[in-house]
Amino acid sequence: MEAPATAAANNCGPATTAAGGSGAATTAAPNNDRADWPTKLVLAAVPAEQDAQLQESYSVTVQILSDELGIEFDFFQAADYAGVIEALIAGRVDLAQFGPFSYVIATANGAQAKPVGVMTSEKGAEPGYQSYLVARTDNSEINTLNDILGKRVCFVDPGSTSGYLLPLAGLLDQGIDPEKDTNSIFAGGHDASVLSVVNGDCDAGFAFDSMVTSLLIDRGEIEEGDVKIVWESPIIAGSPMSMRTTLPQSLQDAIEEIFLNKINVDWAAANGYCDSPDPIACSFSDEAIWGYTAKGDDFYDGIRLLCRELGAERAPSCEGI
Amino acid sequence: MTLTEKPQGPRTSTIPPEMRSGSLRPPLPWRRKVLLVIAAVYAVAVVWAIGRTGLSITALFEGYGDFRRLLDRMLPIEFRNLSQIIRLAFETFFMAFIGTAVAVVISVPLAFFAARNTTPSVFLSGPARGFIVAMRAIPDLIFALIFVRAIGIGVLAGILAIGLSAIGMVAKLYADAIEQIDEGPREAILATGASQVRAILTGVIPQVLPSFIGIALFRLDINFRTSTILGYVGAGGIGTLLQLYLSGLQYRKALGVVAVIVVLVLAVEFISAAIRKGILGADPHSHKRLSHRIAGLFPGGKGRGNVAAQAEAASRASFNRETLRPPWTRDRRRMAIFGWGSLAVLVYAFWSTRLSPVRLFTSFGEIFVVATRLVPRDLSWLSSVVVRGMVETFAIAIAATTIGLLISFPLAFLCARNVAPARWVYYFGRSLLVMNRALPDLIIAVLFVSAVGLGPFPGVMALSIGTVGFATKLLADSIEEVSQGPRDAVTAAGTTRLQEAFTGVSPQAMPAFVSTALYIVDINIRSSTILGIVGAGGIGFSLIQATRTLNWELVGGILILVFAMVYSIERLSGWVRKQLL
Amino acid sequence: MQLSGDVVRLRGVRKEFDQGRVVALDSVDLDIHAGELTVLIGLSGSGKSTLLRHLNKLHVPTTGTVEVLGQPVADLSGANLRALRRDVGFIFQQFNIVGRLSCLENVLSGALGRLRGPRYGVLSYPKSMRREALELLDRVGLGDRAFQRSDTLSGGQQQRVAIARTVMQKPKLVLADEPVASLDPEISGQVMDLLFRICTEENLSVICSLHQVDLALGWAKRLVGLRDGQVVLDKPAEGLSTEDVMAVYKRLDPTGTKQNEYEPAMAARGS
Ligand SMILES: Nc1ncnc2c1ncn2[C@@H]1O[C@H](COP(=O)(O)OP(=O)(O)O)[C@@H](O)[C@H]1O
Ligand SMILES: [Mg+2]
Repeated sequence: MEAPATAAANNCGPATTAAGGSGAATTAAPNNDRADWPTKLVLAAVPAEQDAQLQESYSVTVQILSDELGIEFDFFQAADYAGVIEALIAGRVDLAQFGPFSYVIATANGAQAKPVGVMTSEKGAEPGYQSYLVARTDNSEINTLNDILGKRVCFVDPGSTSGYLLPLAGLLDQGIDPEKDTNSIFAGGHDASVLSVVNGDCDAGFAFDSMVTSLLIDRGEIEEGDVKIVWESPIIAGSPMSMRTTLPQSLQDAIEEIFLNKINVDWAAANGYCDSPDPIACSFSDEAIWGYTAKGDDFYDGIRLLCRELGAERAPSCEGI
Repeated sequence: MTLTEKPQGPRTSTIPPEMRSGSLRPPLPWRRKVLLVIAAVYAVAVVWAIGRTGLSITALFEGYGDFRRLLDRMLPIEFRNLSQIIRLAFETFFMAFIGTAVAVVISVPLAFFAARNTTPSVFLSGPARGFIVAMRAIPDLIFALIFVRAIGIGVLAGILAIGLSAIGMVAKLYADAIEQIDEGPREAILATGASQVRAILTGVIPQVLPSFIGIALFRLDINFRTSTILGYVGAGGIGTLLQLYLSGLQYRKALGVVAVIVVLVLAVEFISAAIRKGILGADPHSHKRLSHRIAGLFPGGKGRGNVAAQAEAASRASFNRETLRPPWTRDRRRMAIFGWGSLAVLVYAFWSTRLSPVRLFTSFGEIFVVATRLVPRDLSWLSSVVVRGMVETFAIAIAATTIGLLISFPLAFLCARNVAPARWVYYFGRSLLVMNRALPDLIIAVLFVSAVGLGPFPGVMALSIGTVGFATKLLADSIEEVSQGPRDAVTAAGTTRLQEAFTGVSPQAMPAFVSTALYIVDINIRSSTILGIVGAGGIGFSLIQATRTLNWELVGGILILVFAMVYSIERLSGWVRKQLL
Repeated sequence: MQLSGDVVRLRGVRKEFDQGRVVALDSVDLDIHAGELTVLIGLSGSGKSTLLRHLNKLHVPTTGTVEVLGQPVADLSGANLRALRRDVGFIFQQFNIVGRLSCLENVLSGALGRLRGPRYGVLSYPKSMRREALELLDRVGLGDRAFQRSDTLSGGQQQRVAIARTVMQKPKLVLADEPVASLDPEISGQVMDLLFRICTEENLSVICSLHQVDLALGWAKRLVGLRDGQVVLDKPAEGLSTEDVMAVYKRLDPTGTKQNEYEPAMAARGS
């Protein structure tokens, strides 16, 4: 990968990119009303699902943003969202890459933010992912959701959306209470859930889709065909880049324009930020994505509804949503 | 009568010629010079660290409003599902108890291998010492993360994490205690033709037993507090609930959990103090030196216990002259109650956590497999991100230790029983310290992130506030151990309290102060890992993320760097400490 | 400064420890005259230390009054108490110098009462005081040890540092609590010699508890004997015989036989 500027963002420290001397800065601000723009912006990121592959991080995203806006960027990553949400609420973070659930928590706790774009794996694709229930291919006993009655079932952890909340809703829909009707176990991770199924510790397990279909296979932990997909959840909204809505309106517009039109592999490759228009060469985040697509806050109402249906009793992390 | 009449010759001055005039500056031998150079380097490091972490007082003041707003959202604390909290709190206590037992069981042989005077061979003492330091270098949270990935979510992972990370401290202090024994009894037993092992059993164990018990109790207290955070990564106990509440930003309920933890920490501290006093005797030398040892360490008292009192009691107590069984003296009774009591709690702990001791045993095989995977094959993991992270961690630890100690020093004088201006100040201070120690670093970190934004700055603040409780306790304990005589003498000269604290107390406590300071740097390097969770800087994010994504070589590589840093600081501090004794 | 009249006046002083289980002093009346050199004798545990520690309010009497240098000690606190303590030097059996500090700094600490604010390190004291302290060290024969760490000195040398520290304080009254009990006889003689000589030179009132009867008789103007917290002897030293003094160390046995308990008492009680 070859970014045009060497001042790359890094994982931990504040990475400050040179404020753009390029002419692009003015094009990004149509009405030239930059008087109230801050001299520095902060971008923070939280890994969407805990087990996503850690990649080259956000260097290209930060580079494009600072070139286009002519504003310096500080970039931080946190392993969990609590700190980032509080910083966003206090106005000390301007852009935050959240997972869907953390976005919902942030807004429920008073963060004044909205999605500027949602990560999408392919151009034009609906941004979202699913939860799968998997079982060993050679296990003939488990073929539908109902077959897990009385079996050992792996969930991820009580705070995971695709590893617990969504499966729980799916099971309750079928009249199955996992506490009573199954022998449920928290595996601690999506990969651990799948691997427990493969090595026989669990009869069936929940995990998010690409963990099953690609990540574990790419890592060589399982073979293609080791597990079968027994159940697929409805689509969960994807991970939003969230923007503080207390920023000047003209700046918000400029940022939105950049995310929707420029932070994607096609534009980045065409403008020399990446070698080729493909998600591995163009590292926008810690996930391999095409770019961002426009969605509003209501895109996440599904998760809010899910939380209300489950209630704080069953899903403690849902309380207050 | 006679003495006065002694002829007094003309007195010759004893003042050396070069000191007869001039301003009487203390001489500077080379050791002092080296210490001064180290002090200067340290001062430069602090300035650098403050710059590197972007510390700014004005930013702190500007952030006060947000700090307050978040604090308002955290208070008042709320108790929900109190029965569940209490059940989980006990589960956590049992995890800590089993973990401590695991640590003690592994540490005893390890300490005998590591101690210079009992090791069978230098080829064993070296590796044993290395292993001990390595265990201390790995942050407990990372232990827990690794074990959760290796053997699944639940209490077993937590217990192993607690047990193994405690070895680093327990085995080291045990080895120190063994090295400080009186060699006489052992030589006497060897002289009767007994084997080495027997000589150790009869000549060494009785001498070190009080220290061993004292250290184990001290560690139980630490383990209990540690285990409350391990739930964060799925390692069972009350931490699971804490994590659930924190991840929903439900701080009020999280603090409700913390309040229960505070009560339990207080109870554990109270009980272990009572046990220490009850079975180690009121003799200050058997346990009072503990805090010196904890801080790394002072040639302590020899742990003789109240030998004279025991002998007297034994000679008074009647015993059956037929069977020649030892009489049930008060001390023997207490020891027996303590021994059987601990065993009973251990059994109950296994039962209540539904953990089979066999499973505990077999899990070590699985750990071994993970451990081999941690060994990096090459240097491909060593990226600029890692280097920057380590540098930042170092800067955070230095800055946090300095700030923490600046807060702890004056506090320690208020929290030391023998120096506190009034009893209520002492009790008030000590209870604040317990609360501070029970409050999870994560909550403190989130508060500071809200006040000053993400990055190493809030990390420094969180760590320095977070270690105040522990540092102040160690410092105050060492102040309580200074001898009263010189203090009386200084007071008798008509000094103020403050003057007396500077001249009567501080010089006496200085070596312990320095030990504590260096020990806190060590702790801060490790606990800065946790800051990665909330985006407060350092190597923590990379380490946690590498563990989550099973990038074992990166995990191993980072741990090696942490080990190297902790180890070199330890060597340096060992030397400095020796010069200051 | 020479004071006329009494420097110490005790009236009916009683001191209990452990809620009255131990009575360390019992109805003690005692006047000490200015410029006098008084020696306190008595068995270990007879209350000598307790008495001395009342004179600078390290202890407070359970009942009775203590007046030192014309001031009722019980009423003193804060700055007034510090002012009194500055005027009363105290020399301890265990020397009580701060081991990790240099000899010079230990001597300098005697001047703390004359200074404002905390001090740390020799250089934090005024230059003139450093000079003064060095002269004092020279007077006790340790001018060449100024910057040696004081815990590397022998016991006798440590006590000489403590004497220098007390003189540094510029006291009017010096209390010495068994200053040579931890030293061997040879050194004891030298240290007592030094202490009394300096105090005489400085014209100070001295109250000193001692075990060495010969030393006591050699230097004291007045001998006060304590037994079980009560004054049992109070006479000018002149004309007293060794037997008179040894009587203080004897105790009436219930059986009527008199027995010298001095040795066993020392061993059993420690100090
Ligand atoms: N702080 C104290 N607490 C309890 N008892 C004390 C204390 N100080 C002295 N005593 C008791 O008071 C008595 C007199 O002691 P002390 O004045 O030290 O005697 P001396 O100096 O003559 O040897 C002794 O019985 C001693 O045990
Ligand atoms: Mg005495």
